[in-house]
Amino acid sequence: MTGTIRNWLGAALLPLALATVACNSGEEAEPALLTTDGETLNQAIAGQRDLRTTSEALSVAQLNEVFDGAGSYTVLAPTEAAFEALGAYAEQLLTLEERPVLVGLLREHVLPGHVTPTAIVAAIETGGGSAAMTTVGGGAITFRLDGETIVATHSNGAVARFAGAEVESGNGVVVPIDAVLTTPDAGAAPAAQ
Amino acid sequence: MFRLRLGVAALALAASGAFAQNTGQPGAEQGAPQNAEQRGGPPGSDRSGDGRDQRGDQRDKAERTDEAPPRAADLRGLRDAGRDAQVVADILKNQDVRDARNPAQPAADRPGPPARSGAPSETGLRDLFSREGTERVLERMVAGPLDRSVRMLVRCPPGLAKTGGCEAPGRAQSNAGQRYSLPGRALSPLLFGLTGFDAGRYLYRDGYLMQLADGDGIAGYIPLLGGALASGNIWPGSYGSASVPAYLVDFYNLGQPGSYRYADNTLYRVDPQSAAIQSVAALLTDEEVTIGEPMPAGYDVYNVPYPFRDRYADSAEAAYRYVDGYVYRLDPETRLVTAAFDLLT
Repeated sequence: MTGTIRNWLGAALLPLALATVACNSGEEAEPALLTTDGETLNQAIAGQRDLRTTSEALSVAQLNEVFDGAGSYTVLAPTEAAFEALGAYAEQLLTLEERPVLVGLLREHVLPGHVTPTAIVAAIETGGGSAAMTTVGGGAITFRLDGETIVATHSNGAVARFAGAEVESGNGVVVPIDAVLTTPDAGAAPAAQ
Repeated sequence: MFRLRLGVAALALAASGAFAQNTGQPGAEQGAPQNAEQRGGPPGSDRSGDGRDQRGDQRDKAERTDEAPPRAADLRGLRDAGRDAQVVADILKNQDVRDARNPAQPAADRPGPPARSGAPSETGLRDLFSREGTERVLERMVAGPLDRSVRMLVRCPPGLAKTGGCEAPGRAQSNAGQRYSLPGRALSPLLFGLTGFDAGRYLYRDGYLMQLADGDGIAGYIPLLGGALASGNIWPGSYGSASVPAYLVDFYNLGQPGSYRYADNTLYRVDPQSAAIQSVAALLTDEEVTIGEPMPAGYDVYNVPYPFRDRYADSAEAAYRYVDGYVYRLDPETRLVTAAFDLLT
């Protein structure tokens, strides 16, 4: 049985290399970036220049192996600009002291299974303008279209737009987004007691 | 041919007892509360057989007394903030129902595991050869639900008692930095991806989330993923480990008994000798999908893993969704779950 799992990723490579999947990144539709050399989802994220901080966050959170394993996930990955927009808060998030908070935050960026932008658009159309997915953190993300761009609204109020081509691997998908799905008041000073 | 393979596999499952039994508890931790027992009932099955356990009784009671309001206080903010109120509320409502079915218990108060036998129950054997057909029955057998009950340990986390880490609430409340998270929100289990716990007043210290008691002191604490449950730390024996169905042990390649732990929707790899946490193997959802019941909200988008998208492709007759190692077949019109498929056959 274990061998079957291990063969998952390898078995997926050839069809992935041959497949052409449209993307909905807000720009003109273009072919998706497809892994062709057996990369896992974790490796695919690490290979994206504009997702360096997301990759670092996964390392700090000790979640790398999750995205190297048999489980299938979709990661909505904030771009470098998205983390920069958080200012000092982003640096604090990546400290060991805040690691449990970082883990909780990252879980809200992870969907179960292999979710492509193409499938999201199809679900939005079927659903009359919106489609919802649960996260592995227990939150909810509602997808809508703004023109050709997919917009994700988290149940905590955060909003992000798809900001680049997705990358598919045998065990999941990574989709760049232009904002971190944290509460809008992230980084605000604690309220007075 | 496919049906024949399934039938053979079903017999093998029956002969082996079908599920791993409390495998995450090493002998060195035998003094710890043993919360984990394997619930034999897969999604859609009748849980009123011999394999019924005390937690099942509690869950059934919660279902019978469904007038009891769920503990939803910590979700209200999310609900209010949601832009698509109906859809989001449906997803969060599912969580409320799960919370009501899985009341958090202090570890010390948890019931012990029921007596087990190595063979499947008589009811299980009847299921195996029922008139529903071998393929369908196998699907039901392998799709055993995870134990998703939540736990909070009592007293003070190890190491904090001597340093005053569990000081009286009055003093603790004076330290706003301990009651508010980096995002500026009051601490809650939900912030850490923990569902099913009471709303209330919490402190965060040294990798633990601690709930303040109504009076003085600490009501309980939760070791956190990335904190007390970070790689390199020793798994806290008192936290125990819920059991994991054998199928998921194979699916996630968790290895031998004692080499993994499961808690709070997370699978960990641990050193079987030292119980040191080695890594996080999988993050799971908090969904309990049951054959014959509607698919939980929040699965609008086709999400079957890539290698299986040809085998389980949506059509006018059937939709497929992936949750925690299984693919579920849905009626596209009613959204009722009609079957569950394991991904190792």
